[in-house]
Amino acid sequence: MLRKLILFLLPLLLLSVPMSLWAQEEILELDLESLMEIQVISAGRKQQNLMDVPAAIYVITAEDIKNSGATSVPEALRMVPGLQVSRIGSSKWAIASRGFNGTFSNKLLVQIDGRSVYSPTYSGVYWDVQNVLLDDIDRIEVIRGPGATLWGANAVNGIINIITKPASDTLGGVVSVGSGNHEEQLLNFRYGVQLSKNVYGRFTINHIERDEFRYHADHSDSLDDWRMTYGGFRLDGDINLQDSWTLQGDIYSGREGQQVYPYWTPESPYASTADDRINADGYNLLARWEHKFSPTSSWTLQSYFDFSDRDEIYVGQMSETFDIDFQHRFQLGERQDIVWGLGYRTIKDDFSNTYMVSFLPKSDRSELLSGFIQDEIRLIDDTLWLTLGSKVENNDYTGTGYQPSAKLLWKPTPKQSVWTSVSRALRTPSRAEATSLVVTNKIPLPPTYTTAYTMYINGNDDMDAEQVTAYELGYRYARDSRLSFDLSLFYNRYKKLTSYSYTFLPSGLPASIEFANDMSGHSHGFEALLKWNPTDWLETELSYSLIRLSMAMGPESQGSPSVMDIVAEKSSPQHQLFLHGGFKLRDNLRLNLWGRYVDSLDVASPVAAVNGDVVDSYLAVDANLIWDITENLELMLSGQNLFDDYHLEFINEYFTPAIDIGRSLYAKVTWSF
Amino acid sequence: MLKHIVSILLALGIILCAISLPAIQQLSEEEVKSAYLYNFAKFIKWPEKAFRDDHDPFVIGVYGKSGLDEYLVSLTKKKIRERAVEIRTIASVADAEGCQLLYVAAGAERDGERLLQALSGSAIVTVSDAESFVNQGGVIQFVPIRGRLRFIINLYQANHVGLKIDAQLLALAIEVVEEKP
Repeated sequence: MLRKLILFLLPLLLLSVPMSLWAQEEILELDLESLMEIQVISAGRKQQNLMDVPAAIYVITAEDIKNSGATSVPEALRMVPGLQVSRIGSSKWAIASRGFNGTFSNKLLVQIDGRSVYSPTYSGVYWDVQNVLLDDIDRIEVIRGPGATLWGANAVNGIINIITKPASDTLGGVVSVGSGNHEEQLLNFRYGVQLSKNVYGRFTINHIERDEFRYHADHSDSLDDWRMTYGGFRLDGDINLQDSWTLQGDIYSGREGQQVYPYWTPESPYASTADDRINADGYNLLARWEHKFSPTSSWTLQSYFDFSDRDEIYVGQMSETFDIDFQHRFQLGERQDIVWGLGYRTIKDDFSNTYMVSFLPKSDRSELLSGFIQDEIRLIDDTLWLTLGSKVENNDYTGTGYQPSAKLLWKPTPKQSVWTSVSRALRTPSRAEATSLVVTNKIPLPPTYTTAYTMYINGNDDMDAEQVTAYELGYRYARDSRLSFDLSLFYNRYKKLTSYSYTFLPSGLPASIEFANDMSGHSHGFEALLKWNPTDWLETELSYSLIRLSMAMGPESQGSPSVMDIVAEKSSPQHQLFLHGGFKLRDNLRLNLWGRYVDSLDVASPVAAVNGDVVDSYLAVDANLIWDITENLELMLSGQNLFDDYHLEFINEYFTPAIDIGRSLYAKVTWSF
Repeated sequence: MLKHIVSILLALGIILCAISLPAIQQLSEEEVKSAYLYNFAKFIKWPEKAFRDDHDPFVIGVYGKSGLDEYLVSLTKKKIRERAVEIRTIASVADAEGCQLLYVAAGAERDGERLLQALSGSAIVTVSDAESFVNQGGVIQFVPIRGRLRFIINLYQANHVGLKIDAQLLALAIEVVEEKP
């Protein structure tokens, strides 16, 4: 099918006339309507000034994404200093900031254009369905450390904001077709138009098919191939100079393979391996209205509806989210910049319970009310700023919680800044932690071994929110656009972290295992980033990060066989080193090299603790070559994980055995018109 | 099935676009501004008193560092309202009096304000991208929206000095100021 498509495309590509440059006289002859449509290249385009942000922020630009050779958002995130991005299998990822990684990495909040994609069911992000077309992304802002004051609960250790381009920036068409050994099909199509004087629109269609990898244990096929089809649109309009609006939506449908082990059934042999196909479908619609009084004063009203349906052999989960948010920013007096907001969210879920995993009640509706205020006070002009703020949030599980923060930014010189902050953030218990019942083991009983004793993990609806108090210190130096340095240090204290509490029968078997809040601890570390572009044809970036975690179980967990503390301590790579070199070989030819050293994970997950499996440290090298054949035709050759056939990056904590991630080579042609 | 739908959609899209679309090109702000000035001249009618006689050229003045000069030069080969076009660098109010169209560079704002006051009774289309140019009595102000250049028209000032602005131009303005700002 791919070959046919390419055969079909080729003559068209050849026919397409290369864009000619307009002569000055022709430009003068352009009529007013055309002039209004032309995007102007402005020398003084306002740059986002990272020097002034009192947080450990890293921004991935559209250009960075292109240079990364990534074909999915998680791959693009691999470049972020200190972020732990581990591929569990073909379609599964474990991504965390500052520790506590896992499939359900629950302390990292992820938003796409202000829509939270954090699953309240499991606390975590299903990365397989966050299938934004990379070409539509304007930038990805990654903040390591708490972001709860502005963004709310679950932004405990970090927040990722994926921001797509406005439709006014994506006029015309783009087709890209790619294929490789793992990336079997990459098909993208986008087309944008100016619909009227003040309205722009685009739509995007994308289809991917990815091959399976292999099992770590016996190198057999891991049956985790996946395919996903995605469609999206975005409309942006201006009513007048003050008011603008956005309406956007996505729809997707994915089919992914997985083998579930152990898959528990009520009858002997109880544990088996089940071949499963995940069906993941969903759609969302988002509307936003922005009113600007002045560059420093505006309000935004945003609302979205999100539907998702995910069926796996052990449980089916459907959820409908409605969210509305209002935000207002204004200047108070000469020195204060205030942002405040109110939000309401309601989530209705419905589970298809199975013997292995059930939720009680099967269907439920929860509500979340929140408000926040943040005040940035300029203490000394151009030199010293203090930012104070807090979020207040009320949810159905844990009631009302406060998430305050205080940040100080000092710019001793225009090229240097020092910032420090203290903040508190909460993670709300998930529906699973509060109300699930999960079969975790069945032990055949003597003498006949025809009956079995079943062990469950029980949800606990008295669960409290997890708490962190984070202390951060940062330093930035930007000599000029060629050299900059960024350092962030952190020390986090955690309380009431999720644990399991056990009670035992006289026989020694666990009578019950229940979720509890009986773990506490601390973490510390730092991330350092150096950007250096020594010449016009070379860009380099080097980052190193260190993290150490130390956990302790509380009194209720004495004598319990839980390994939560060990997992928390040993599931993060203590050292990570990233290196990027971008070489402009010729005006239309660019080579990118990426190297990543990721330290070992001694105990990646509870399963790894039981089996004694270790994720070894690894060094991965990616490279790609981007060749602009003509002004509107581009060829990319990309290789990921070039120097080793396979390596293990993580061990899934639930349901699927460890999978090795293989080398991926692909070629992609992009045609813009 | 899905594969087929996607490939059909892709193919359809490509054909449609290949047939219908003019190339979209990026131009510099200065190029676009120059073209705008020429268009403004086409859609505005000056009162008789703005010219001494029929042989008088159409004068476009540039005040301050605009970067437009090199692009405006090619306008001198054209005719505006059947008059030859002259590009003049303006340094003082006296220089400006003879212009029909005057571009005031944003950097020259403060002096620009004085200039506007001095010229408030003259039939001159003053144009600038300076913020609140229209509020100070300028006739047309460029505003950047979504990376594109749009414009506001101060119709009050235009009427006040006897300039007739074509409805087509007014319709394309993002804002038309009709009351005294």
